[in-house]
Amino acid sequence: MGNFEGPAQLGPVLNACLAISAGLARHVVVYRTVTEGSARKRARTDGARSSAQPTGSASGPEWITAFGGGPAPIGYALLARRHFHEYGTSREQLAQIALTARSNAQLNPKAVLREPLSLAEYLGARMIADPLCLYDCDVYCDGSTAIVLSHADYARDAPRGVVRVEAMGIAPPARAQYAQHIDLHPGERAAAQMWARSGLRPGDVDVAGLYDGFSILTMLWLEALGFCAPGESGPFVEDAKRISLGGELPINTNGGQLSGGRLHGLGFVHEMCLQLRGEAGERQVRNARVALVALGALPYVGCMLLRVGES
Amino acid sequence: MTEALRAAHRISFSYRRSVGGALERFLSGLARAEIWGSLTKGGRVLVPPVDWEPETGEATAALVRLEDTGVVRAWTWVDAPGARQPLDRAFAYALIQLDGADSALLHVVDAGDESAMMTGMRVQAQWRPERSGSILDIRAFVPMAPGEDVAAQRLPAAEVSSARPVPIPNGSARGAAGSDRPSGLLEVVSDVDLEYAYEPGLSASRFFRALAERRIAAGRCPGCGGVYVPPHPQCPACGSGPMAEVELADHGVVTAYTVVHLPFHGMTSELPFVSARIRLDGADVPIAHLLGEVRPEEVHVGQRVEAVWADGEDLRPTWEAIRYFRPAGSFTAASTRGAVGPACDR
Amino acid sequence: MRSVAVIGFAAAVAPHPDGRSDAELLAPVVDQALMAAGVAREEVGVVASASSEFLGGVVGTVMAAFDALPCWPPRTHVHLEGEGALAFFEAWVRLQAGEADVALACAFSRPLAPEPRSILSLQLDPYLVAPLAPDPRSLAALQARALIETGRYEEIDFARVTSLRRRNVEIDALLAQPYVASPLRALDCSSVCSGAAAVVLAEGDRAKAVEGNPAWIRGIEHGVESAALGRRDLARAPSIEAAAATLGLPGSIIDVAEVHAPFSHQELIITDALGVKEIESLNPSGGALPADPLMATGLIRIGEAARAILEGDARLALAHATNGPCLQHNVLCLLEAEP
Repeated sequence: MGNFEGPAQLGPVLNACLAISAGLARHVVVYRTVTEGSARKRARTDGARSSAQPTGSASGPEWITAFGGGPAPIGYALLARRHFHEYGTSREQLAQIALTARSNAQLNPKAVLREPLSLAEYLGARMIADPLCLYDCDVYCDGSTAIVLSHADYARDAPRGVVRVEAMGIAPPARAQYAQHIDLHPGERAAAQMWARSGLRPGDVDVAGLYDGFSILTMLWLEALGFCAPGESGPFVEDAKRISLGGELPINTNGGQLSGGRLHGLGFVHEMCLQLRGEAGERQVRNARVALVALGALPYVGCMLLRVGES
Repeated sequence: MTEALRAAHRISFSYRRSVGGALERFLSGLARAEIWGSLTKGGRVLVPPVDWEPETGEATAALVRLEDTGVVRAWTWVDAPGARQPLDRAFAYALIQLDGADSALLHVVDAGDESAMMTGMRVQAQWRPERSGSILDIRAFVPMAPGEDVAAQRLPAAEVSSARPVPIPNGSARGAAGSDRPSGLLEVVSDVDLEYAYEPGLSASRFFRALAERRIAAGRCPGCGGVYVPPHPQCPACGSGPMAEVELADHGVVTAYTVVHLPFHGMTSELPFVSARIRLDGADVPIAHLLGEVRPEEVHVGQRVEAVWADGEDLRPTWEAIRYFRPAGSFTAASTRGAVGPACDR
Repeated sequence: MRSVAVIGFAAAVAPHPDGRSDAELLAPVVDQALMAAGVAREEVGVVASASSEFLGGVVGTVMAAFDALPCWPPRTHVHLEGEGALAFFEAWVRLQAGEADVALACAFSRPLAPEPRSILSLQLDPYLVAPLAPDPRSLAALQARALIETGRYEEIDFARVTSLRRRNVEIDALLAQPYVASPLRALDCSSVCSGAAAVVLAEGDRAKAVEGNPAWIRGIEHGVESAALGRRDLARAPSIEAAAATLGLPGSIIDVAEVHAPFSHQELIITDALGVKEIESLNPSGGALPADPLMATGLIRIGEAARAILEGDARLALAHATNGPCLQHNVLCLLEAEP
């Protein structure tokens, strides 16, 4: 039901939680199916230009494009440029998001891109919208993800591990995108709302899925969620060990959307559940008991804390 | 006096979807002039076929082939067919229950005249000579010859035809586990072609008309004093309105920029081009526009820029009244008219 | 469950595109609804809005409409691509979950294409239905035919509904008009227009503080029929029957019912499915036929039903809203004067 929900791709998950807690349902299936892999391949072989929005018009695009329309990479490239300017973030730092995703993807048999990727290859890659290069943009795939949310009473009957929803944060960012304010802290209010609803703190998080439709978004989430101070995500990820599988905050353990495939949000929820259930195979984070999912591209953002539940 | 602006806006694209499972069997069957349905565990025959039974969610038991004759259960006459509709003379849409099926198929009946249509009439599919695996491989259903007509009668909606075809053993639908080998990738192409008369609104219209006069008519919120370009009918921050007009000069500062290398549908400049956010002097929010007459490597945040306006007939109430922004105070030869857009100097 | 009531409602329709943007259309309606409810912008904790960008044609313009909503400083705002009645349901669920004490549900619609209803039929099954390009009136007409075939109703019954809802149109004059899609005539199909609606909801104590009679929401239910037209019995509405049963409607007497029937024969199907003993006043607002701002029409039915209670004209009111071809998705909302 519905689209364009405030909390981005977490909208249906939130709806499910609300429906269950309001007593309207006991079990809710939330799913997302994407076929962008096939669709894009076909568009290329047709000779059509790749397009994020088909807004071609005989005489109308000029005042539409200027109001923020046009392909997604342009908007996020502007964001990245602003971050570089204000905080001195570098391409080498931003690269760590893509490089970490790729090395995790090598351990995920379902990931789309699994060949090793080096910093040199990243820096030499084709620019899409400067400073975002090819590897800063997620990879299309065909896929389907489904999760079942249930009333907590059901936990003792669950056949496998139980993951509890600890808290969610859904506050929208500063103002609608069309007020043209480049907001470098879009997730802050959602994060604050989420932390206010839980006794957990950033230091308690064992593993995280942070939206990487564009790598810059992952950086912004690290800051918004309080894993580092605003503007400090560059130095935070510079030592790639920190966010890699053995590090203090492993992120996007399935390869994210950058290498794992653009499952459009719900894929992160799935991966975090696998981690908390101990079913992540070679990419399992040891003793994972608390996971965090943060989704969204501006202006719709949402985040969720998950923890191992008692069965 | 501000007259509202309006512009023709057309959206035109093709969307391709691959098919699989029961749907693929149905469509590839149509290409062979065959109609297939699925048999449920409860013995019902559903056309079009489905992979899972609607009520129970179980995989359907088998595929069955049906005859291409049936009974009209409901119909409506289309006097003047639209451009995209299947026939170019008056016809009927109908829900047709094929002999042996327990559900109805939506299609068209080419009966010539409305007086020839009747619920309960028998019809037969008329196939196109060239078929591609589409519901349109059936050109239309046509009334069956008088000798074959069942006497006209009101049939109860739930009546099931007595002839029950034998299930064919190897026709299992693609289930959740152990999928069938694909029989070739069929696609359904949806062509979308829509025309709108887009209206940006009264507040935006005022702004664009001012642009055609080379004026930047921003708005100041009466509540919080924020200056917005373009003005909003209501302040997005505090909800106050209407905004008072404030004229701004056509120069300002680059707050962000990107060099675009990605081609996209609807773009108006050659690649690569520089897209930027520019905060005009006096404004509280930036506008989005293009940079020109500058090398990409010379662009920087904080750079002062000024507008280059269109002239003559190109000066219309749109954002293109400003062709692009260039570094302020730069001395270059006047840009030639007719250029597609700003080309970055190499 | 928390007690939640409707405490304010406003709506406006515009027969032809008049140059206003979505925000310019919606803002006065939102302001009016808040004023009628005696609620300040700052008090609104949840905003739920609905529209269809397919009708407007330009992707992303929905965000410009948010200027008209009390969304800043930030509070929960959800937007649905669909019918306003579902935004109403969304707002109600958020209040049930305790997210706030006051919510605003609104919808706006500015169909800017020559045949707006045909845009919606692009959302039909793209494999087997869309290539046949059935327009929405033809689909509704198939349902009308199926209804006639049951023997329960005839064309004159449709004309009777049309005559009641459109006022000043005689049954004989209607029956003399040609079909647009047999057995439906032009006036049997709703007049699509632009419009906006806003409804203010509040929980228990806050609702009791208003002047007038809050319209307490005794229940909301919604359900869908099969997406495959050929598998449905188009002459019935099982999802309405199920929702009505859950709300305890069969056998009851309703003072005012506002049902969302974009085609006159559908009013008959809906009222049959409700199974109530009696409806004293059905669609006193005229229903959807005279003015159908597509995505706001269902929310307006809810608002009109609530208004009857707010103004002291009813004690038990029922609203129905629908979305999709041939009454595919239905919402029922039961309102009463007693908390």
